[in-house]
This record gives sequence, structure tokens and C-alpha cells, in this order.
Amino acid sequence: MISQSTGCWCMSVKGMLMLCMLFVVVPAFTGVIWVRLLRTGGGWNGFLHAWVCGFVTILAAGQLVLVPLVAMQQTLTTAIMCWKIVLTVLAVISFYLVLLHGQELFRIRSLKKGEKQEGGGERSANYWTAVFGVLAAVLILLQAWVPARYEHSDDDDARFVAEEVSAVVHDTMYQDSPIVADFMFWNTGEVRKDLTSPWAMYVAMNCRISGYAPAVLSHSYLPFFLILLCYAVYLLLGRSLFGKDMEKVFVFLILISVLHLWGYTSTHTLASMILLRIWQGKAVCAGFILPVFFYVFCEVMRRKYRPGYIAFLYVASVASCLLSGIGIVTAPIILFLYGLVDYVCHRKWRKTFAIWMAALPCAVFLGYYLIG
Amino acid sequence: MTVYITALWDEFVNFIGGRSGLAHWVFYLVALFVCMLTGRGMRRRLFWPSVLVLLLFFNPLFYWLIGTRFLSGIYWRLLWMLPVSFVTGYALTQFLFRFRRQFLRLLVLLAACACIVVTGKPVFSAETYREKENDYELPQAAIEIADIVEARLENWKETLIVPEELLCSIRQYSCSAGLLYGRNAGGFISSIEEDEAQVHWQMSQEVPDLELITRIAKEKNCRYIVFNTAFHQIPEDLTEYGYGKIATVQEKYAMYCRISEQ
Repeated sequence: MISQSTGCWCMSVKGMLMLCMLFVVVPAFTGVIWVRLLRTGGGWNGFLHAWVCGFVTILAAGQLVLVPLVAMQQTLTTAIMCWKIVLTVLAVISFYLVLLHGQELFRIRSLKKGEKQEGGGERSANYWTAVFGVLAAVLILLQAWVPARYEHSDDDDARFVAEEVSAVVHDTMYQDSPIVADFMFWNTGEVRKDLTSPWAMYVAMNCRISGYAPAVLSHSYLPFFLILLCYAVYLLLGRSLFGKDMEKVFVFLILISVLHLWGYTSTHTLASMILLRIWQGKAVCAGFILPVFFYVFCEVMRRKYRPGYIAFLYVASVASCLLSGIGIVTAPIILFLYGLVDYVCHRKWRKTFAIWMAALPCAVFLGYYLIG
Repeated sequence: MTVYITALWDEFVNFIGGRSGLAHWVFYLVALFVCMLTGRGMRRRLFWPSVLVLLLFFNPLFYWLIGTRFLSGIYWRLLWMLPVSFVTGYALTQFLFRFRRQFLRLLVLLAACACIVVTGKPVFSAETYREKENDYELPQAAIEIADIVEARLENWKETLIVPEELLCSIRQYSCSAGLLYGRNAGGFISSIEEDEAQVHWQMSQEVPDLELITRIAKEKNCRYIVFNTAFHQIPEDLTEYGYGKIATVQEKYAMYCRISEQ
């Protein structure tokens, strides 16, 4: 049994700090690369871009490291070592960018004279902006806090969390059955799907690094960070739709929060996925990565778009494969449809082709799953 | 073709949750219509992607080619591609800001939220969340049973038979506790064999056939059997079946171990 969070205050603080590093600091620092590429500017906008894009990049790195290692029946320790190397390389690149373009990266972009506001919004910060902002923050924090504070049991965890426990304790990856605990390897039953979507091993790596047991991390801590990440994407989407009119953006977030909080009309809805089992890969796919695609599409659809967003689609495509089999299926479909809309609107076949080609990683992983 | 159209409709109804989810979908469709009228930018970004996803989802040919072969039972997940809450949120926000007076905006915002609340169903309720028993957010009984197994471990793992309500939780805590059957009894993860299915059936009965359960348990090298005494009507002493009581967990679960190995 690995170390638990109960009983030791010291362990709890250390674990929390480690989780903040893993889910906030490291992704945000990695995302500096994208802040530079997408020229988002500094401030909150820059931080949100860095956090979201960095997390997506880390997921993509996890996918590229884990799939070959699972196929080669390597240990979890090896996977963590390789993943750390990749993260270190990304961190070095980010550090280099900070040294080289620090001022530019963290400067808050202001409108030049005559420059039109993106999204058509107007810069307005008044008393009501603050009121709506606080209300939106309260609703978002409530959504992040309740799943972490209270207990919801989901039977799918019998597979995912059990796989994580086996990986952490036995230092293997998908090698024993999540039910009977006998040697099985990944190519049996439903577990076969996990070779190309090793989200459980990604969580297991975080468990090993943070020292939390998989059930504790998945049920008590991951929801807090992942729900905040989801709302970071929705905030970026709001900014994309309403420009810098933050009053509208906050009202948009309030409405989305209410829609989600009262969206439990079935166990399948997006609201149910986000607020009931966000620690599972498919829920992260539904609540995080698909909205990321939607946000990037909103940016790419502009007449004057930043090509960096198309590059980011490739990374998001790899990241979606890590989460779930449905990520491997939905990412190409969504890219195809967005590419189609873009072509009909702008008639730039090169751009459309570039969007469609972003589905290639998904095709590779799907092919590997079908043939392998 | 009619079969596929019916199946598609069932997938959709299954996704939205029947009538309870209808109102939010009506809001979404109205919002989509508003986006179509808002202007070229929003038509491109919000309206067309949604329409294309809907056309793809409700396409019987696509369902036959992809849905039935690769997405059997999970076809409804394609609806996650629809930006339902974003489109609804966007249209409502734009509508709200048509009012120039701030207090009117606030009033309309409250009315919109009230509409969503009244027609929806809360995610956070006693039905979905409860006070947690421990940091693992697992039943305390599962943890205590797994701890007993761990403390008496003779091999790298032991096999157990546990009541239905503990099937999914024990292995989330400890990988030393293997199960004779688990979620596969419900048709998930892997297939279940006949013996395991028989034991599962007996364990779901108030008066289980102890002879059958213990015989199969011995054959399958299953060292522990746990009964829920609040549900199962079993004698306290199972010595005649080759199992002896070793613990009572949470005043509810009776844990038995093979006598020869006690």
C-alpha cells in the first residue's frame, strides 16, 4: 500500500504542493511556449493560455511516452522517467523563451490607436463587471469544491482506478486484470482499448510523483484541478466570443455554470461528465479537450488568424488520444467538420488541409489499436 | 433503414434523458436559431459546426457504417461534440445585453437562471453525492476488508467473493484483493465464466446456496467469502462448508476464511 494522505499533516501539505506543481505550475510554465507562438500577451489571458495549452501539451507528451512503453511492457518507473525527461526539455525551452522574450511574453497587450477589438467587444470595467466576476468565480469554485469534498461513486472506477492501483503498487502497466488481479496484459476485453488511451497510467504517474493513493488523487484532488481547467477553457472561449468585454464574459460563465449545475437530465450529459466523474479520461475528453478544439476553431475561423493555433490542433489531437477511445474518434470528426466549415467560409484549401491533417495522429493510434 | 432511425432516436433520447432534458434542448435549438440570425461571424463559429454535428449524428448511413461497428452502445457520446451550453450561454448573454438598464439585465439574468433551474435537474444532490467516509471516497467496509486481507496475505494476492455493493470498490483500494468476479458480472471489462456467474447469482439471493458457493470457491482457490448479514440469511457457523468466521466488518459484513488455512 502506498502512502496515504490521512494522518500525516506534513504529507498532506507536501502532496498538495506537489499537485499544484503538477497541475498548475508545470503546465503553465510549459505553456509559455504557446504564449510566445500564439502571441497572446501577458496578464490573465496569457496565464490562462499558458495553463490550458501547457496542460494539453503535457497530455500529448504523456501519450507519446506511454503508448510505446505500454506496448513494450515497460514499468511505470520507466514511463515516469521518460515523461520527466520530456517535461524537462519543454521546461528548458520555456525557460529559454522567458529569458529571451520575457518582457514581451508578460506584457499585457493594449489596443493601438485605431485597432479594432477582437470579437467586437468593448473594454469596460465597472462595478457590475466586478459583481458578475465574483458571482462567476463563486459558482466555478463551488463546482470544483463539491466533487472534491463529497463522495460520488462511479462503477467505471472499478476498471480505471483499479488499473492505477496495480500500476503504482506492482510497477507495471496494464499487465494484470482489474478484476481478478491475474496476469492479463492489455489485449483482453475492454482493457484492450487502454493501450492507445492510457489515461489511467497518466494518473498513475501523477500518483507516484505526488505520493497520493490513486483513489485519493482521483476522487478528492483531481476534480478540483480539472474542473478549474475546464472553466479556464470556457473563459478563453468567452473572451473569443465577446472580446475583452469582461462583463459579458462573466455573465456567459454564470450561465454556463447554471446550465451545468442543473444539467443532470441524464448520466450522459456534459454536465454529468464534468461534475460527477471528471477524473475519468472520457469526462476530461468531453469537458476539456472538445471545448479546447471548439475554442481553437473559433480562433482559427477568424480572417486574420494566428497559424500557431493550427499547430496547436496537432498537439490537442495527440492529447485527445490519451484520454479515451472516444477522443480518438471525436477529434478527427470534429477536425473534419471544422475544416469543412472553414473551407466553405474562407476558401483556403491549404488551411483546410492543415486542419484535416491534424487528425493524422488519431488515425495512427486508431490504426495501431485495430491492427496491433 | 427504419431500424437505424429508431435506434438513432433512442440514442438521442438516452443522451438527453427523455422529457427531463427536453427543455434545455429546446433552449439550445432556439439559441442556435438566434446564432444563425446574429451575423456571419457567429453563424460560422456557432451555428454551422452544431448543424453539421447534428446532421452527422442523425445520419443513418453514418450510424450503420461507424456507429454499429465501432461505437456500439456509446454512439450517444458523439453528442459531446455539440457545444450545447456554449451556444445557449452565448445567445442568452447577447439577449441580456440588449437591455440597456443594468437592473433589467440583472432581472433577465435571474429569470434565465430560474428557467434553467426549474426545467433542469441538479447535479449536486443527495442522489449523486454523499458525505465521504474516508479520503479514498470508498465504502469504509471495502477498506477494512482489504486491510484484513492484506494483513493475512500469504501470496502476492488473495481471491475473494464479496457482496454486490463492494464489487467495484475493493480493488480501488488494494491490488492484493483479487475478486472471483467483479464488474464483469454486469457485462463489463471482460467475460464471466459459468462458475463465477453461478456464484454471483447465488450471492444476489437472500438465501444463497452455501454448498454451491463454497464448493466453487474451493475449486477456484478462493480464500475469503464476505456476506452482508443485513441481506444474506446465512448461519453464523460455516464450518461444515469448510469456512470459518474471522471478522465482522462495520457490524454488517461477516468475513469467512478457508478453515484449512486459518
